[in-house]
Amino acid sequence: MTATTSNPAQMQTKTVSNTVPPATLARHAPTSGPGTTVLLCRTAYSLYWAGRYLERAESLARLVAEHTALLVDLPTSVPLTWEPLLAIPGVNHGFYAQFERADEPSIMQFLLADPSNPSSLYRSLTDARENLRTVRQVFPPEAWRLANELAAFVETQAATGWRRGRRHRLLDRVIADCQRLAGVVSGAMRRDHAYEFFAIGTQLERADMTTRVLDVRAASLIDSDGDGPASLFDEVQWLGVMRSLVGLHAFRRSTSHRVLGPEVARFLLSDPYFPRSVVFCLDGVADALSRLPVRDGPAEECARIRRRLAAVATTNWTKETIRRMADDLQLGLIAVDTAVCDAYFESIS
Amino acid sequence: MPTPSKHALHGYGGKGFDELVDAGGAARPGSEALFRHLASLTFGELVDRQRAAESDIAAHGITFTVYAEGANLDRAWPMDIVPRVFPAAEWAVIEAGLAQRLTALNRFLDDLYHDQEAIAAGIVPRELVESSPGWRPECRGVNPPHGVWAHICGSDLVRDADGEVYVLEDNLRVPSGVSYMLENRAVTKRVFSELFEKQSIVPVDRYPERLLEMLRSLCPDGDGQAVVLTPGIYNSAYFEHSFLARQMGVELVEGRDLYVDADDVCWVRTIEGPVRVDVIYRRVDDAFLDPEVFRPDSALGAPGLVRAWRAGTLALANAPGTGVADDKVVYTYVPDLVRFYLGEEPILGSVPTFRCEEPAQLKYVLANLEQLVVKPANEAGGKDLLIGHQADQATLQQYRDRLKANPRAWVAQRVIELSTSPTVCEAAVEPRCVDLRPFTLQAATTYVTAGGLTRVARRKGSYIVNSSQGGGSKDTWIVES
Repeated sequence: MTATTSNPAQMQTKTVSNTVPPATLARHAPTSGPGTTVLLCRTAYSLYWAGRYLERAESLARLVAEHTALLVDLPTSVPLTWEPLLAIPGVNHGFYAQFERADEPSIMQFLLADPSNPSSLYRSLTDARENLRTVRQVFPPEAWRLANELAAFVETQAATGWRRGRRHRLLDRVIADCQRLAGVVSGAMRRDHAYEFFAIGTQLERADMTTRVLDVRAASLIDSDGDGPASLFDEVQWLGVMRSLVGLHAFRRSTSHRVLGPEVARFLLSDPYFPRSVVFCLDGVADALSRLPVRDGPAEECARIRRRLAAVATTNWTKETIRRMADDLQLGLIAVDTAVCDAYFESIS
Repeated sequence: MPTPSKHALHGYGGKGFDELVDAGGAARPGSEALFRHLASLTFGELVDRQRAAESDIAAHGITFTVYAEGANLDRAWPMDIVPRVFPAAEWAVIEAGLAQRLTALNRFLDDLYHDQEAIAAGIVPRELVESSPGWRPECRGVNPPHGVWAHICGSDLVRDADGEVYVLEDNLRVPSGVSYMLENRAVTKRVFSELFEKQSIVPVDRYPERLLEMLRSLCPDGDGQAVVLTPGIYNSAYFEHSFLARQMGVELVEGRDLYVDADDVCWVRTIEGPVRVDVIYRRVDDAFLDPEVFRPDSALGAPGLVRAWRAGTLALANAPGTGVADDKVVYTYVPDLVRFYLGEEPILGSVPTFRCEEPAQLKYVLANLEQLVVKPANEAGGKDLLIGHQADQATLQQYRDRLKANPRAWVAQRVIELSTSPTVCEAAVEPRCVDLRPFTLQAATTYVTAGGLTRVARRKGSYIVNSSQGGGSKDTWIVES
């Protein structure tokens, strides 16, 4: 599993060579979207990353909250460790460079409060703020205020907020404030090009998290024999997977099946109505791209993943097939990210 | 001991000129309503308002970075909740004085870069101008729109013990602070709103619109693409750059977002390809603006900006080269320049200043250093300032050596006993020294902010109000009677 991607944390001024402008030079932007102002490449870049970081913070908070709850539900005889929490964001390597034992305090500190871990909750939120700080002219003031306050709050929690007794308060606040922020953006931000970049970042990150959870958790839960008889605790764990992706309620509305491996995989990958399914997120990205200029490269990468997902209906789900699908999807999502960067950010990065 | 239950102005008073109360402790004209309200609150109640203002500032991310304190980009902007008041009639005089002064300074700049009549007439010595670090010979012969070079000016005004207001500095390069003037008002309205109920206080929030209007007036057709150019997020005034771009609804750009093509046209990189830029409100110093002309190692500006400006395809506000009129030795000639260009007497006085480069004046300065303030001629932010009567002998000697080594680089002034304003301190409301930075916009017309940014020294007896040195601030009211 690859580590989560990030933008060069503090984009600082580099000498930029004068790139040759494209043949069509605009006196004013010809199709500057629904508005009179232009969207700078750098602004689009920061919005894209702010979207990714905020989504990453919320999904990590949900993941940790659910895992903490799950441990409480399982009897001590069932082996469940904290290590999947390192595997999902792909930070095992960084963790073991700092810590020897993968125990709860070390992992929680590293995942929630460590400023040196670029995938930590702390960094996701402070990096989101640093990106938003540079785009305040296009971002709703109330949403900036929430992001700013939340980053400041997480900074104050770095010393002790990750401990079991306080964790719940920290994670609850992060989840609630990310939701408030999403609400403000949804209700107050103009649907211009700036919005589309924020939305693309959010949707790509969300799809990424779903594939990561599926890869690590689902693969370890599904018997290599395929549909073996499920133990009670398997079901408890599947419920945990679904809850960490806020999908349990939606899943039950979609099917009469029990919450078990193959159905869950199918649902998380290809349910066209669930906002965290990979297909839903990808369609969201494609939809946002359809309103942007020079979209062919990234749109083609989206279509490529969409074709890969077509196999979902006919796949027999085993540990192997899930792994392979998750790997393919992650490579596909990286390709979308690269294509977005090539199309819009290349001149400034 | 804190006395939260005593009324807020209990025992208030100081030695010098106070902005709120006169020598007898009565409210000054225009301040009566504020005085009455403060007197009706207990100190504890006022402290509650102060705390509310501080949390409001933190929540809104109103920040000011101080380099000396490390890289904390989220250092909250310090603001005292007690406003500082000018009666409208007094302000009208100051306003006229500021407009007059900037008009003369712009005439001077245009003259320096063209015919140099003021030099020919013996008003200002040629060596002085040409030895100024702000003098940009590259700008000679350029014709910026309306003949105006300094479009945005942030003068520093001080009030002496006798009640007279003086211009201390003109700040014609890239003055900061106007966003804090606007935010201070917004904070006061949010946490102290009842103050506004019973009096008529002139609004300050027209500034961004006037700024945009001024910038657009620099484009040939009066409606071009304007942008704000910032050195980036680590600049101490980044908050302001972002704030102004937001308020004007224009893009905030960095040097790497811009380029100038072979036809001397400036473009900004957008997701749809390059879009032409017509006017740049640049918050990058001259030296870093264009590596083709000024510092070749600078990556903060963009190569070719000055080329485009000279060609007339791009307007820069402020124009390069205004720093020469900011030189504190040149400052000593401003009253003469007002008379020379406008044929008028200056409405606002300058602080009497000794030119160390003139031997007789240097001799006097060296002999009387303990009674004087010494300043470098070309620094900003209160850097390297010496306040004679507060310095020890070693420091005084060090300054004597520096003055003798390079007299052109220094000026000296008699100490201005800055006026004070009531400020919420740990245990009581106490007098603290203040100055005022109003902002003047000039192109085809001139606009002066209603008031400005009041800066306040935070330590007792200190005259250091500079934000970069930990100074605080206040909302400033022009009160109509």
